[in-house]
Amino acid sequence: MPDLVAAPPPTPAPPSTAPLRELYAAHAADLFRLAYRLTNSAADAEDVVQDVFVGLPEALRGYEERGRFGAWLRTLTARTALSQLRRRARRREVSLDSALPPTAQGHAEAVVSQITLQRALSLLPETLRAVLVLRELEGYSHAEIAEVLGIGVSASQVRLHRAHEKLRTILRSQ
Amino acid sequence: MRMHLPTRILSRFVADELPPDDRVQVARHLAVCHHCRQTAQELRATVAALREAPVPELPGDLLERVLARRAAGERVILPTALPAPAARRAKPWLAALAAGVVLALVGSLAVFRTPDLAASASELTISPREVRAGQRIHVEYRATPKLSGEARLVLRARLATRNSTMVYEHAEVGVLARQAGGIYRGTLTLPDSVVYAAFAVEDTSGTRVDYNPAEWDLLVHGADGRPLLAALEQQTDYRDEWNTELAMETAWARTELYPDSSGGWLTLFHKQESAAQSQESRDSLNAVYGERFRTLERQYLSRPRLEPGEMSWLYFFASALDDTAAARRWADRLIATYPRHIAGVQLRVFRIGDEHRGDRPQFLTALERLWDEVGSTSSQLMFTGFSHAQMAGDEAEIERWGNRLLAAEPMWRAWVTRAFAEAPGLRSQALGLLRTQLQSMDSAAPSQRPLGQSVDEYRRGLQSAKGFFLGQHGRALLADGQQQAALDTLARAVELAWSVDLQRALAEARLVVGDTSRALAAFARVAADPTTSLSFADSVRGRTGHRFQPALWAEAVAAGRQEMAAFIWAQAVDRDVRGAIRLTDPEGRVRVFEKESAGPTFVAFWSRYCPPSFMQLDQLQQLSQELSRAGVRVLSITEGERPAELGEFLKEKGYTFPALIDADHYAARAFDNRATPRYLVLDGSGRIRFDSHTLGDVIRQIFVLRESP
Repeated sequence: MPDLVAAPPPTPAPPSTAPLRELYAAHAADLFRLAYRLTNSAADAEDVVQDVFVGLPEALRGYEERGRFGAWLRTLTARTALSQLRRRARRREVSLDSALPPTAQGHAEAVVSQITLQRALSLLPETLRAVLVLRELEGYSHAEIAEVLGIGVSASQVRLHRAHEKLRTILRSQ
Repeated sequence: MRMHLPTRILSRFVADELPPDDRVQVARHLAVCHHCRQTAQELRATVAALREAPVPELPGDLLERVLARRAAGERVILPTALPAPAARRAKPWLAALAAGVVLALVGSLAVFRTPDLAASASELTISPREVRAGQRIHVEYRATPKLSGEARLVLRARLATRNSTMVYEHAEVGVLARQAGGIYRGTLTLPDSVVYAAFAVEDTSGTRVDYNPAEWDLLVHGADGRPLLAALEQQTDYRDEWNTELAMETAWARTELYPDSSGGWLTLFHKQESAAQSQESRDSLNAVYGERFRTLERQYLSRPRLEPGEMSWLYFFASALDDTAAARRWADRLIATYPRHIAGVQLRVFRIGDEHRGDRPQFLTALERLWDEVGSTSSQLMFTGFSHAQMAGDEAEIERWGNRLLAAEPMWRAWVTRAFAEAPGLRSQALGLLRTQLQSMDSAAPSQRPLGQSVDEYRRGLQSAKGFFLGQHGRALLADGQQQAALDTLARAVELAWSVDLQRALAEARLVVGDTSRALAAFARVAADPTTSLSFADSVRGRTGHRFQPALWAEAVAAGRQEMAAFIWAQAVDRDVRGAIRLTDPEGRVRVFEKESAGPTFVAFWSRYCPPSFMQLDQLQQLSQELSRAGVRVLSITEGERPAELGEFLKEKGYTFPALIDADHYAARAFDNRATPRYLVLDGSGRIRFDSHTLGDVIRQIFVLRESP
């Protein structure tokens, strides 16, 4: 006897979140540190890391650089952080992290010097801070920085030296 | 003085980026120079401290938030391709002498622009980035919400050619059509002569405008792949109008790409010198750039032929370094080789000024001789002749130099016209010029307005400028004895702008022709203005005798108030102040600004490093005293200052207005401020109701605000 009611089409299983969880476990902390150093703000760094992982499954379709996944992901994060900074600059926002003194505990001297350093970093123009962080803290070469920022190698070198100079001037004046 | 190494070299040394030979040289120097050794140590220590700086912990729930956003269907397009040029911030305008000169010269017509980018996240991408002269350009625009509903948008540009100075062509250069995904695209080709272009996007009626002076521009590149030197020079000039830091970035690029061009080095020197905080840093800048100057000088001397422009740069470079011998050497050489070239004439004008300092008639005679020889080659000559003729108050000279300037540079017409109108003997000429000026305003096209200015803003500015020139025309007619024409013209002028001075002139003129009742109406408008003293009515009563009827007078004053209120309310805005505002006072204490108040609040953004703002500080002091007396809350905000230094500055100048520092940009963000000077009037609930760049109407704004129900 033929079926009188057509069987409902099978519901597609929701895509597994396991791969994303794995990628997150392997890279999130590293990417968060990079984003924090570039934006100088925990809130912005959180936004950046969230955006990167929300967009990652689609972005992966365009990933062709076999064997350099970590570097590719870091470059993607750096670019996302920079565009976050650009958006913030347009709104002329200053993150609360950099505007308010932190309530960190610890040795008074260490706290003061970290506050000063933090503040000095926040006073550095984004263009200079990006080069300083990528080169000195993240170990990028000038060629890599040039690629991430869309500038020339010599511009990256010039900015690095200007960042040093400016940071030193700011720290001296505090 | 010992020569020190530039930090640029030291930071490359510390970063281990120097070639081995240079590294050895630097190490040798460090062995003997305590100062440089200390700098290098500081650089190292800073990097070490940065590396050790703690990073907050990754929040535990971040992954859950990511998964929740994905589960809700959210997707983010990540920048897997190269981004647009790196982040740059349009900061409030800092000292830019050239722009200051332009503002001072254009006088009442100058409108100091701020980019209108509130909360927008628009982007303009130009490809190819390394565009060649005359090449086809593709433009992609991701719209700000205020423009995203349009099917087509207009791309406008400010175009600079190799020799553009102060005068730029503004033109519609393309149409952007909306494509799938809400992205607008268009193509355009710029004329071959253009070396640099800056862009703005607007709707087809020019009502809503989006632009970003820090990022939306294009440098024409040469066959060798470098941006043209002229393009970089034009970019420096444009950026200088907005942000010295950005201009400095271009200057760095100029010296990187064109190390033999002395203009780039000089620009850099000027910028660094003006930012130098101490005599020590100025000394070391002088040493470093002095060395650069001598290197350039050696290179130039070895060339078989030198262009006048290059010699001129060297002269200015030497002058900036206070190297008078070298400056004299290059001036002599330039004048001897190219006496009639624009660059040579400019230095000859300077030289005449030096020779006849303090003796204006002799100075003008010498300039006249130079004119006989070179004619209208140099606007510097005509400009100097005209301004000195004005200072001497010599009408024949004002006429002579004014007419020469007019023939060569139509852009100075407003200035010359004003000077002629103020010289009694040149009145008939002034009348002719004023008519031409007014006609040109009638036929002015909004297509030439500055980037970022909407058609409405342009028309409002034009209307008030027209009111000003009509007023001048009316006064000149009056002085020329043409009573009726003067009355008609003044009556038209007061219809375009609210001006106490013009109303008074109109009233006086009506009194002269015996039209007492209409004179009284104009006097009543003067009395209606809150800046007019209360005793004014008595003086009018005294002069108009029995025709002065108190009841009718009170009625006319009330009508005048309504008329003034209509003019003032036409400028009103209604905007929110966003977020909390924490500011630092000159004693270094943090103050929190409360938006709400019992009545209006006056907020002034100023900077002593911005010439237009600096020039208004005395007026700001006077106004703030008047407002405080009237019970109005006054707040002035500046930035880029240290508390103690600000305190000293205020004390030295005798300024008593409350001044606070916006160290963390709270106020800039809350008021969406990007430029100085800027003056805001807030109502009692803390909303922005008036927003202007001049102080002239502030008392009226507060008056109408208080009078409003």
